[in-house]
Amino acid sequence: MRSTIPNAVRVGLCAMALLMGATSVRAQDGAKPVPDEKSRREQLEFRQKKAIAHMQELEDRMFQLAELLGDAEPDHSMRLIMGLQKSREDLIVEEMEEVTGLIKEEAWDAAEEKQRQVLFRLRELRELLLSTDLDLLLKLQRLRKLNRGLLDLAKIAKEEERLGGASEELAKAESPDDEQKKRMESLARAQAENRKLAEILRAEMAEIADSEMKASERLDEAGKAMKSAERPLERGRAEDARKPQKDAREKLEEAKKDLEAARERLLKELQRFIRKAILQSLFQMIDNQTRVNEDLTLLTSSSPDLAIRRRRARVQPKRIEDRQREVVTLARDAVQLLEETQYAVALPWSVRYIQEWAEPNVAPIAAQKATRSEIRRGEKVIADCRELADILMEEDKYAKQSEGNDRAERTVKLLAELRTLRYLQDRVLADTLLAVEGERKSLSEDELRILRKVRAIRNWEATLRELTLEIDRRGAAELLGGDNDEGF
Amino acid sequence: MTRRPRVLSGLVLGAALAVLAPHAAAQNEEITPESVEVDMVDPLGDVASDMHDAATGLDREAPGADVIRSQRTAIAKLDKLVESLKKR
Repeated sequence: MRSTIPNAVRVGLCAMALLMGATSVRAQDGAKPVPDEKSRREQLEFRQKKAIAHMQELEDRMFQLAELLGDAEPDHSMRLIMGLQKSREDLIVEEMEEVTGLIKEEAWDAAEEKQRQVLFRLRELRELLLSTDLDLLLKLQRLRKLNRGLLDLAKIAKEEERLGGASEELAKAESPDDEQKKRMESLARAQAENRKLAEILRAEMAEIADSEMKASERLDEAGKAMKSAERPLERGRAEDARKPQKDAREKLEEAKKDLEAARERLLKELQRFIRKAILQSLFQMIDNQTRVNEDLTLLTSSSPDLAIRRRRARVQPKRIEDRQREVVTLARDAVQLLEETQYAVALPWSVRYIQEWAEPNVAPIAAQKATRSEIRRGEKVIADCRELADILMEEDKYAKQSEGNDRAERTVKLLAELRTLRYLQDRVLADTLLAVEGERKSLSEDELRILRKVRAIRNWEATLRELTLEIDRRGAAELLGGDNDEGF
Repeated sequence: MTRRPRVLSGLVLGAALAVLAPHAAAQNEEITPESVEVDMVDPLGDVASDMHDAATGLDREAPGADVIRSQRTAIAKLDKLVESLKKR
């Protein structure tokens, strides 16, 4: 597939590659720019603006190329249109502009986080333009739209609830006074605003509807009911608005249930793909961290052996730093994918836990001050990634065996959740023991800092409890109970 | 002259052992899936309760033996639930 991509698209991808490396709030040595370095800030601002211009040009080119390719290469044309749509929907240019604002304010941490999100979107866009699996990307896009739709719907429903309550209150007055009439007029305006939001959402959901999804119809009916409530409110008759408002609330509730069902169906289809993507990320993290550790072992070795000295001389510190950063980026992206798709409850937190151990390695490696401590952290990252990969591989094996059996499929998911919880609790226990040991053996400040001492462990323990309760809320008891529970 | 420091260091050592003994005992304490009971009415609520105990214990300045015991109990209960699910 790659070889058939037209040269013009390749040019676009090269532009994107430049874009992805164009700007970074981190200085070359990995340290943040010193806030009073005005020229440095201006330089970063300039580079960021240049990157925005590149991005805008890329969007224009995608559109022009799609038109040019048109009938001759409809697949590529569609892919470019989808790329353009994705870029606009993800608000990549707008987010890049936000980065410029943050650089201007010297809010380095916020700028870096926003940049990371932009890079994640750019990588996804690159994937979309190069991927052989368009179907998967389309499904992921649909899932995000469904999630966004559900969030918007919750806001609309909340507002409708408020409007209904206010109408109910005003309907108590038999002959409303001027002030009450004014309030009703204001309610009518708010009702119209809410209806417009419902109409926008209806159009968005209609775009992604499949044959089973009826949310846009329900939203259409909710919109009509809202419209019927506007007129009586404008005329100062709140009591006549109550019935259509009640209808609107019911239709919104039905739309919510329909959207949730559509998301469930889609998630089921996507499970295997997401699992595969996360496994790939974990393997890449293991590979990168192993290489980092090998190089660090060479650099920290004082062996007089000639072969080791030669290998040590060939080690490139910048490459170690890049690989360590890559581990952190892979972890962050995996967390983002897991959270956006709501694949699992405990897994995103487990990957975040690994990220927390990998991240403090970056600064000492960038400053070429890595010691045995960074190697130990690296070893832990590798071991943890292996354990999570093991859980996912087992889930994959059981999932294949249970395909088509709803209860068995849910049991497999629960098994993976429990194993992930167990993994995380085991690590938090290890951190607790290390903290106790640290007090006894007076571990170095550096090592204790990684643990962020007891407070961080406490936060993890509290998170674990929340995750356990969330898994419970999703119906674990039903699967854990049952008739054949002699094991307990 | 040498007698008093020896007595003192003995006392210090004794006090230190008294403080550290519960930690050491908790670290070596064996809590297995067989040695724990899971409340089958609310299995995950039961596990969450151990985690809550551990988190509450961690609110104190230094983690004590009770924290480690609660964490180990949660792990053993999760192991038990995992094993049971695998049998199905």
